[in-house]
Amino acid sequence: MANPNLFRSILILFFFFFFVTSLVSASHFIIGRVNNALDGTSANSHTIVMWNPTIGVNDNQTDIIGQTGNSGVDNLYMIDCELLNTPCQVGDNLSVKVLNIGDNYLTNTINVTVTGAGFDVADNLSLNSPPNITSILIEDSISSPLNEIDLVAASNRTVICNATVTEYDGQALQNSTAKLFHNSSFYSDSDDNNIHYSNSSCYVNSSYGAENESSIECRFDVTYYANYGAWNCSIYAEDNLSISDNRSDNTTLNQLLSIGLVSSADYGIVNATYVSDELTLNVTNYGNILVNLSLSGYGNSISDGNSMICSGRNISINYHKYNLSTSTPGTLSLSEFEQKYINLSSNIATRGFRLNYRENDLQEGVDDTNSTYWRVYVPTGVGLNCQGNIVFGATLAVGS
Amino acid sequence: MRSYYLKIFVVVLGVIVFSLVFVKSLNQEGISLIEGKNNLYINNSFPVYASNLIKLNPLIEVVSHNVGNETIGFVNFYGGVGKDFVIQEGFYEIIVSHNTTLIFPEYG
Repeated sequence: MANPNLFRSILILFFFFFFVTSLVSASHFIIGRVNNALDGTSANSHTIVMWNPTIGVNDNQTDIIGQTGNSGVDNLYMIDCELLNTPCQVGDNLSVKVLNIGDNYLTNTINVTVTGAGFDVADNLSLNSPPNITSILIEDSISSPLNEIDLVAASNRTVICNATVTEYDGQALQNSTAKLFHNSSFYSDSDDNNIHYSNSSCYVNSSYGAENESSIECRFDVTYYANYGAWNCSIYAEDNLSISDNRSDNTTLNQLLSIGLVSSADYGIVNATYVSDELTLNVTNYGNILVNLSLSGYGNSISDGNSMICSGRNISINYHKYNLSTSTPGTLSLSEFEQKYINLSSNIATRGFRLNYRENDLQEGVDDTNSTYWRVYVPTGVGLNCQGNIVFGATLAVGS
Repeated sequence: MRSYYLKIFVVVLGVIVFSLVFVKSLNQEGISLIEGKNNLYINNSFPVYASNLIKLNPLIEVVSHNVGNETIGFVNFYGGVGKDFVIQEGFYEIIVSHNTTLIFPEYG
């Protein structure tokens, strides 16, 4: 049977031992210097974190750099690595870095080895200066008037977004991207030729400007059907510590009124006193705005009253007709022809057509093309070969 | 009889362990510190700043003590890094670079 006195003695001894050891310090300080950022930002008041990478970053200790922290000295930090949940031991390699507290100032990570000395001094750290985009300009190749983008019908306009970046640490920009987007869109939206463009590999010219300055050139091939109105170009520059800056510039993209058709069409052989078969002419919107059509015709010269000049008698303008909405296939009599089609005239006539601009990025002619339908009546006495002109014009449709 | 000796043995063992871990300061003179960590109970009549203690004892690398769950330390580096706390009666850890004798300032 156990001796109660012995048990009591052991209990007192253990209690005393644990009481005393709880009052005793066991510390191993890691001390280091953090230099100010090259842009002049002080390292003081930034948070530094230390952890043992073999244990994991969740077991960490932090300190405030400078006088308000443990060190009480400008630019210095002091962390007791024995306060880690898994206290440090001689030979441990601890990692130290300055955290980004939201102001984009941090450092890279360094390692310090715990020795048997009273404390250890880590290598110096330097606060990273974030890249600073000092200027940005968006423009196309037509610099006057300034701050306006003019599109090219049925083609692309190269729009250049240029920025100047200062990187005080002289670090290479590991990521320079830009987005160009209409004011109905947002930076993070996916690309759409009407409203949103991205360039994920802008050209960085590191030899540009003064020391530590670079230029970033981001090009966009803007299609003819990009929405008119206010556009924004935002450039994003990131250094090799993944710290970034971004800046935007606005511009106005002008309206483009443009249509496209085949350059010529042939009615084929039409006998005298007959109405030709229907000829379909497709009109494609090559601009960025809803269009109506203006139509006129002439034989040889404008306002000559003819629709076609023939080797014998000419065809009057009144015998050339069109329908902008409805096709009427088959053979037509003159009266049916007169009834279902509208006269072409020597004077310009504006007709509602409301041809939408292209919105389908994948294929032209899906939503941007409408058909027009044409016939001509050949009166008696007309020569064999006839040739005339139809003038198609694009006008702004109300409600564009 | 056997349990009596066992009790004596346990108490003696405790005293030995305690002695190995702590050096009790009965006065302010002649405390020998061995290279590395020394855990002391300092019973100092005259409080002294850690920075002053380090000036007097340049072989001290670190003086620290526990306040709650926190360790307050003063390190002999760059002229003194850390909270310059007052050393009064209590338990302290002093790390020295070589064997030395701890000296306290003389008053009066």
